[in-house]
Amino acid sequence: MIVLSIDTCLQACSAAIVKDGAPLAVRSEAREKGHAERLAPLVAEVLDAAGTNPAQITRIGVTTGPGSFTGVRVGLAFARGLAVARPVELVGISTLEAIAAGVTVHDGAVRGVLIDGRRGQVYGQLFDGASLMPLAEPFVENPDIAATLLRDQAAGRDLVLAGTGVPLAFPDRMDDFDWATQQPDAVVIASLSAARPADAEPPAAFYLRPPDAKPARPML
Amino acid sequence: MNDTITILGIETSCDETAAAVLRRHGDGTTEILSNIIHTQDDHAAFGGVVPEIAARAHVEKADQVVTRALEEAGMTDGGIDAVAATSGPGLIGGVMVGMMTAKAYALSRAIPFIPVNHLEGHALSARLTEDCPFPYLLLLVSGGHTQLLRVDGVGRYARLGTTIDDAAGEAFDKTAKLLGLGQPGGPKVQAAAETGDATRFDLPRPLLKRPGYDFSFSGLKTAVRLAAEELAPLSDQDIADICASFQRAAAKHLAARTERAMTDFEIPAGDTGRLVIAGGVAANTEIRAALTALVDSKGWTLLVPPSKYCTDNAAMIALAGAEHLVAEGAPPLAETLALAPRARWPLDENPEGRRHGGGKKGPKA
Repeated sequence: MIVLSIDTCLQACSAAIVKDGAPLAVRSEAREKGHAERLAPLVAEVLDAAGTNPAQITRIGVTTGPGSFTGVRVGLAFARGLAVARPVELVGISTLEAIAAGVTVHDGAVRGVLIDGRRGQVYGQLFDGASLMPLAEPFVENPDIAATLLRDQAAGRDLVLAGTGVPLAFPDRMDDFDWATQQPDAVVIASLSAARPADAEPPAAFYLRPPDAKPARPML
Repeated sequence: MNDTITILGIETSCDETAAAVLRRHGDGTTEILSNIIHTQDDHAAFGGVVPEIAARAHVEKADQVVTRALEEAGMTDGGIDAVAATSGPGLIGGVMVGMMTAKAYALSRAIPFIPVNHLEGHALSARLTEDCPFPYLLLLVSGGHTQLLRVDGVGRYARLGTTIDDAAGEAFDKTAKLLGLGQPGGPKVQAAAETGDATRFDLPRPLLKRPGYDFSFSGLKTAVRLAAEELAPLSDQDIADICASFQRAAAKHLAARTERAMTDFEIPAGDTGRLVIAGGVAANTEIRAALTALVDSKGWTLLVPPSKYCTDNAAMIALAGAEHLVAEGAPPLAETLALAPRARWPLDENPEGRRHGGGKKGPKA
């Protein structure tokens, strides 16, 4: 199986080609905006570097959010567009899960992921340490509520944290925090995608936050 | 290039998710092999198109709409020579979805991706179905644009005038919203106006004595609001009369400014003048009647595309893309894959005279 993975949801633009578990090419660039310009050339680059062409891709793993609304749509529209051009399996992976899967944990610990959601909020979710199964629903909350929520959900187990929201919610846990590893990893996304059945429907955007719009009120 | 080309077009710049497949023959004639338009119905409660809601709807629909266009054209297994997508101006979140879909298709199939200016699609739309040689005067009237352009050929557009504030369609939408008629405003106002007295309210005639070909609708909008506020609570007849008076004033304004442009339009010797109307507002019967009368009085020809090609559609985007492909050859894929969407993109990059809607990002359109 040759997997193309794509992530444009957060502060990076990343893609990888992974064949039967072995990374053939990986690109990741730190990027606050401009994912729409960079993604297609970046995918062309990984295809070239891996010596593959689009017809050989059997599966695409793409992050679906939560993250920047625009970034979420850039990756999804591109992945779904590739699937229009040629038959290919699609797998959507949440950014929360992708980040959780990139964390190294010790026995008995749980993985807490927090992503800076801007506007004074963080996106978060708790995952099992060993199985990576979600232990609770994803949420969007103020950082202090998020910290309490994750601690409660961890129920005394060791809580290993990751994501750009950690400094906001757990300022006391910054000793071993590494900014460099808080984005979804393209190889991890590819492994997660390869390990599960393909989505029956094209993956949908996972915003975790409603659009900013208020119903019109009578004006007279 | 004189060969037949088959091109996929994608349009997502406002609240229509659209895709079409168009074939252009070597002699310049075209066939529309498919034309799929999905109109979002998610905005009614908000009294206008909400950009974030539009963008969310586009990303859930774009691939399906493109697939349907390819299926209807019998092109799911290849046969597309190039893909064109609206790359601006418009609501950036939606434009981005269409562009990413197009870039993915182009990369996967190793075919050219051609960015298209949405306004150019409208400018050429009459040529989808009509025998419409260059040059012609184009009145583009939609929810986002109100412009007069001289069209001398593909890529040769001179903007003569534009709205200095609201677009005509925007004025219809805001009138409908004010009167609680629902959206889209154009058809709602037109329906209410049918039983109204167009002479009841003496609404302003914008820019009546001003030279040039620009438009203005904000004064009209304000006059409508003041009239409505004075009468509130409004009876059904009041609403009908306001709609009729507003529609009449809008039609007169559009016709008056268009007449100026026609008077000054240089027609090549031996040719007749052609006025093309494009954009959703062209569907309004009163506006169409006013322009028909104007064209008749001047001995010109009026060309109005069928309404499915007048409102936002992807066939016009495919046509504009195909014309550029033929005229200029294929742009390098590595270059166009790296293009950004442009929220603002004037059709005439160096218009003479005043620019409107300026600011640090440049003119709107």
